[in-house]
Amino acid sequence: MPICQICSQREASLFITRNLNGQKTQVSVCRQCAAESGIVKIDLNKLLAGLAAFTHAQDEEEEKNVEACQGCGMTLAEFNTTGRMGCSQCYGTFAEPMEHLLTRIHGHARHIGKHPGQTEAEESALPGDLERLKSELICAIAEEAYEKAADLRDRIRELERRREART
Amino acid sequence: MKKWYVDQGPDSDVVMSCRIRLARNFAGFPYPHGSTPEIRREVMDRTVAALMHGNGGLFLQFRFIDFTRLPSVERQVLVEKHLVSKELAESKIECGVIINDSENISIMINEEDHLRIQCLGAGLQLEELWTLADRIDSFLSESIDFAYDNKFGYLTCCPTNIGTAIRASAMLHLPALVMTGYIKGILESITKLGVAVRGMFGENTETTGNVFQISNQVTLGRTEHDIVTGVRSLSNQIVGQERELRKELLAQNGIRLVDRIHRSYGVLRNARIISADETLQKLSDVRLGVNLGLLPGIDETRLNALMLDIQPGNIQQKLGRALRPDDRDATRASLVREVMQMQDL
Ligand SMILES: [Zn+2]
Ligand SMILES: [Zn+2]
Repeated sequence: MPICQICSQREASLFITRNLNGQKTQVSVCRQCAAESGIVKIDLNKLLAGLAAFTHAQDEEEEKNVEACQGCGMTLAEFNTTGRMGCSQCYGTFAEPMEHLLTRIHGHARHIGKHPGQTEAEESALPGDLERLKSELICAIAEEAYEKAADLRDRIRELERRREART
Repeated sequence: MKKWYVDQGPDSDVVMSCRIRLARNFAGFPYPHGSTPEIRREVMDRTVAALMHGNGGLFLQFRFIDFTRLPSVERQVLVEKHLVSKELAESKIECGVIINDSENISIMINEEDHLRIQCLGAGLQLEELWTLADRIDSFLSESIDFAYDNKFGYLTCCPTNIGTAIRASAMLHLPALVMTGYIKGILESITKLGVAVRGMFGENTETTGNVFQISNQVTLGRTEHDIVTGVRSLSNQIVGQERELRKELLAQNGIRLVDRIHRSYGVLRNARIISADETLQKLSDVRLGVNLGLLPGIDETRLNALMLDIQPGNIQQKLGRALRPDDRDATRASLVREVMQMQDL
């Protein structure tokens, strides 16, 4: 295993190619040094690009990089070099490889947060709050505060209904 | 109007400031870099119109700064105040920023995404900042159609920001964790939790002034609320550890620590030439001294402001002209002396 070029102690687990004045140099660093030095941030492009290339190669080796986004003309080959999308339509065009990529980056591929036009009532009832409301309900029942409990029960029902509607 | 960074926030003995950032894009327009000057101009105009001429909703005073006509020194000042990113300051395309009077809200236009809504605050108050950012976003979305997908959420130029498109971060001053070396372990475990850490000042290789920024990496598949409380509670834990260690350092190594703090204070009070790096290091010691009650006459918020003021761009703006590095160091030293002597013990 190669050794980290920054601390010269730990095993290097990230290998980053940098383009300095037209000259390519490879840097090997450990996770810790990468995090501390901010190298990871800079080279996230490369990392993303690598992942996209990987998933794409698996899916359709043949048609590689032919499809272009109708919104901006970007191809997967271009995404592979920049790590950036050209327009919002790109996500639809490359939905399948994107889903793989997003799952790798975030551990999920489905959004559960805010959406445009969300009302305040909806907002105060986002999934993160469901558990809190349930424990509040238990307390309210224990305290025999039935009016409050009824209100909480309604909010929980509404939240669960909306959560189901979205999945 | 008082600027946010001269305020003292919750847990400010360890947390210097925090920030919520939301990325938003106009539906149907290509992202800024692959776009045309006309479309980029339209994005700026429509955002300015939505915020500045929209009535009701937000009771805030905004001003728009068009970067196409802004000298680079002034762009640099905005970077040092954390109001815009380095990328925006160096951008060659049509771009700009909308800032409110107290400078705790900034909306970058045509950076990587069409809009980056940022809310900044002193100390640790991420939940409050999220509420504010949320309101601004909702207000904007009344007149702007944002790119949103039912499955992927808010669409962004970079896939790492997609979904909630939220970045919650806190800037922590951790001198005791650094002095004792415990910082390494903390950084390692934080990274495993899907939270990113980086040094706040200094270029890449090392942290100057013991200031670290932590922020969430995952933006998709979790709610904004969960992400924000996640970063907040992690910050709380680090704050607790830092405080414990400070107490322990003082108890076990008291005289050495006290000596170091007073030496640094002496340097800042007396130096005639000082670099930004050295100033940050000494300020870190003095800030710790203030937090430990060793330098009672000094106002902590003045130190936070000073950390920004001593950066090269801010120094030059104060003087209204570009300076050679030597002159800059002398100017910096006299600025620091002035502040330190004002806070007489
Ligand atoms: Zn290393
Ligand atoms: Zn596209």
